[in-house]
Amino acid sequence: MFSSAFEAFATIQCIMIIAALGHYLPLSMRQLDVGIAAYMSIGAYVSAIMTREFGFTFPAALAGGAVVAGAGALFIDALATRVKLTGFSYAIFSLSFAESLRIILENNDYVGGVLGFSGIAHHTTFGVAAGVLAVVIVLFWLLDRSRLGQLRTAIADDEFIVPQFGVPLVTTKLIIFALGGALGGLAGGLYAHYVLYIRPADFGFVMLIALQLPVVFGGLDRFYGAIVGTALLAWIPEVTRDLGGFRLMFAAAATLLMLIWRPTGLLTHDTIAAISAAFRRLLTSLRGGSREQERPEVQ
Amino acid sequence: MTTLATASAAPAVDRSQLVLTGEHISVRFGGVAALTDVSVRIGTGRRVEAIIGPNGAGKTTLFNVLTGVVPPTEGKVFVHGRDVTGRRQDFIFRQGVSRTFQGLRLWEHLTVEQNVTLASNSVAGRKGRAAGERVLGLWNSKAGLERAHWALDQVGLTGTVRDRKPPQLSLWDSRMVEIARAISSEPDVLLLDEPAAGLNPVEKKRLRELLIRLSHEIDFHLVVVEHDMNFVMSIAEHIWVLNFGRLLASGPPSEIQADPRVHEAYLGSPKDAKK
Repeated sequence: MFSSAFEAFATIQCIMIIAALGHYLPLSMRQLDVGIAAYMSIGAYVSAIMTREFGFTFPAALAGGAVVAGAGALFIDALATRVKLTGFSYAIFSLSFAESLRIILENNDYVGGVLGFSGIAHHTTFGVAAGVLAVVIVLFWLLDRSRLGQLRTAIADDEFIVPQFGVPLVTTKLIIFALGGALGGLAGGLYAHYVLYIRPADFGFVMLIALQLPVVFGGLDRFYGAIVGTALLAWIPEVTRDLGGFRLMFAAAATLLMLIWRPTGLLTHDTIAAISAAFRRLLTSLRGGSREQERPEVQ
Repeated sequence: MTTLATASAAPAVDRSQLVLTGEHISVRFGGVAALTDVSVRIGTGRRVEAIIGPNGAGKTTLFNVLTGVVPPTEGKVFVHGRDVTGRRQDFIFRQGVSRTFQGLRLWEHLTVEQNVTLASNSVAGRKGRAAGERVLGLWNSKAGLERAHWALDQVGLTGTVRDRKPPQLSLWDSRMVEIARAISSEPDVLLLDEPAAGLNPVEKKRLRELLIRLSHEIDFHLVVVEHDMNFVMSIAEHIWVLNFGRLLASGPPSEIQADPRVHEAYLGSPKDAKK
């Protein structure tokens, strides 16, 4: 269907979007858990070890990687929440965890240390990655319509008053953190079984930035901001491939320009409201204005 | 004043008859004493009470202690005779203590209905209205949604306004959403922090009538922090006066109005008041 180069690009894109959505979850609560690269590495290593060393099936390994990564996020965020970390200290804490994990992996012979972990079976195809992404998107769509999704918005809007209305705030936050970590783990598992060779350095600071930029670019208000951001920014390193190590710089420059133009990212609550209002107007005019009488206050 | 030790050894009142009790509450933030040995008893046959005092007197801090936001440095809080000191805010809310906040604090990216549903779904129906299982996380229950609709009906928010978001609302409607959100759990005590702030005289009258009607219909005790003395005097059956974090006086409005200490602390010296 596609050329193999495009298929490779699209597969990695799907995986990166899943990871970006995992990164987006805590950020959408305005909680700066930036440990996504670590959760990816947990998922990658756990699932790779499960298939290579213990002969688990690929779906079981993916699930295993996601669960362990989710548990890792839960552990880290439970610690952070316990000492009431917020803002930058939260970011530094989760980043330190990610970097520590990378260094631990680099010094662990069982997983191959700095030389990496090879001999992973090829399981992730474009179809698998796209299928998993489709499921994840449906789950996000459902999340937006669930109480948990509304709680997430409420936490982002005004966290202080959330427990004042009977919501166990810490539990709610930890559920969302764990979901984010699990998505990172899922992406890591898909990644490991696609590139077939993983190194701790793959999941370092560069990976975090590669996920952070599109999420900020797309805007934190809606989950499709992360998807659109990843999809748009991914082309920049591709078209500037000849520039080697400078490629990420262009993604950063694009994000900076976006932030100057739209400080809260590409897709915000207001953008979505404007688009859906325009869409509704279009529908109304197509139906000959019959809805206008029913809902006159819709702008 | 009795000391804390004697108070807990031999309680002066049967706490189980009281809905909400704060006993000898002191709160210190670092070196600043926000509250010093304040005791309040809500629910002794009175329906509407008020807490007044100059800015910085500790009124909101007292609300924060009673709802579990700020743990008291000393003293205890009881809900229905149960010691809830140091318990989590969500637990205290589910025991029947609900509140609004100084200034408008609505979740601005949720619709009016979602704002209310978020609270109504945190408790099972407490007084027979759409009772249902409380669900922790994932989905809103039908019972909770029904109770949210009921609460919105009570404050007169019907129709399409429920699908709007707080920034699109008038001050009155926003205030009504806050009250609907607070009553959607069918509380036993409702703490309102400056509910009349910014409202015009007509709206204040409407608010007073609404609050009195609700307190009878839902059977809750209302505690109001308010600066508007006319509003307070016309609605409250009992008034607690705070000044510099201490309880200066408490009693029925007529007594408080006549109390020279209150005049001095809050309304200015008697001479100023006559000007």
